[in-house]
Amino acid sequence: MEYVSFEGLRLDGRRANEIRRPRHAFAIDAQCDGSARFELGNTVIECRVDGPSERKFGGAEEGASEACALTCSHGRSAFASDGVQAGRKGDGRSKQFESVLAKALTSAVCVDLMPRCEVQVRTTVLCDDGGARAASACAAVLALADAGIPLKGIIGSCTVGHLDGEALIDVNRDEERGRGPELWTCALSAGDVPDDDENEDDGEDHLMGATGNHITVIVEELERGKTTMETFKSMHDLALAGCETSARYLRISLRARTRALAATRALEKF
Amino acid sequence: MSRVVAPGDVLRDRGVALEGARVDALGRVRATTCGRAVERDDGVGVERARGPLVVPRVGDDVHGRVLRVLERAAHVDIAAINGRAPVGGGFAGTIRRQDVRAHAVDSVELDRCFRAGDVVRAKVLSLGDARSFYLTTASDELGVVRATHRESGETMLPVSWTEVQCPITGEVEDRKVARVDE
Repeated sequence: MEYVSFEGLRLDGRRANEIRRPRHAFAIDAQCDGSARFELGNTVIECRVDGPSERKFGGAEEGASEACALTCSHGRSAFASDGVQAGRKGDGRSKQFESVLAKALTSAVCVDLMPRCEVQVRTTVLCDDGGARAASACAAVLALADAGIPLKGIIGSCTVGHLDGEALIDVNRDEERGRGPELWTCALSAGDVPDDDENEDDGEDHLMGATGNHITVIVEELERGKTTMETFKSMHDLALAGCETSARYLRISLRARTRALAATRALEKF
Repeated sequence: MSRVVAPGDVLRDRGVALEGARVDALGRVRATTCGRAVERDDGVGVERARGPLVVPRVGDDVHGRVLRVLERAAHVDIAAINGRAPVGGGFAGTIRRQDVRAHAVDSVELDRCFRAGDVVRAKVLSLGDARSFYLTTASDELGVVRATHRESGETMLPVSWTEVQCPITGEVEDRKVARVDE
């Protein structure tokens, strides 16, 4: 099957470095402290955030961490994809996703400001057309900001695949089925100026990277990884660019939301 | 017109961080929440678009709806604090039997003071236990400010400090009536 045509167009007409159209909505659920829906093309993710609230477990013992604990839980609606796909709640794959996402989000949250607290992040895949993990991370960032939880910066996230000898950003469902290597990256974007470099090194798939003067805590995961270093390098560069693009989208949408909120409260002009 | 910021935006290259901002490892002041950048003499911070957090404090004037009346306490859903709605839903309040009125404290019968559905005005007595704030109505201007009759649905009118009357059925019920200033 041909994934990239001679003209350089992919199955859905995008070029290699074009992401699908992102969309978002805030405050979709009044029951929780913060919530957001994030869409990448046909992939739809909802995220709900509760907290910061007093930690119920694990706060009392001697030596327990004083900082805020962030927990993630990930679920899929039954109609998210056509059945056979793995990744139902509680299986190994989604457990691993939860822990990696929690690690990525914890690096962006000012955990030191909320001692002995916990923040619960729940993501739900409503529709999976590829890139559900990246979209979940973006939805979680929007929901965290909606809940008013202090953040060091905005985390951008994207997936990159490698098919037909070319790195493809934001792979969709059909391209995921191509079984090429796939890289999921979350990077803390600090905006237009560099931030403090933070080292995150626990051996496995988490790298620390610095590109240009954008800084970053990067959490990434390589699936089906039998790649050469050159392939990885091209995917990695594209992924960082994609993270920056999605972080920019998130930042713009958060500012627009802030202006809209101020307007509905009929405050002085923001 | 001041600047709208998202988390991570740099507010100033050097300075003191107030609420909604933090200083990063390089000494820059960055926003941590969405809102408007506010520069003050003592530093720079971010004012949230949703307004400041409205939380009950001791001595605050609160309005709430009575949820249920027990033998020793009445439970109240606090809907307004000093006339402002709390962000993100109400708080739970409790009026204990000894806090209903200032005189004859021992002979208070709670079901003759409040009923479920009444709107009461109260003061925050203390931060209470883990579940709710303790409220008091021991003052003339505190107590039931609005009660509706169960059958007719009509707002009942106060006829004394301890009684309200339904204007349609004429039925008289007992309440701890608040003096409402016009």
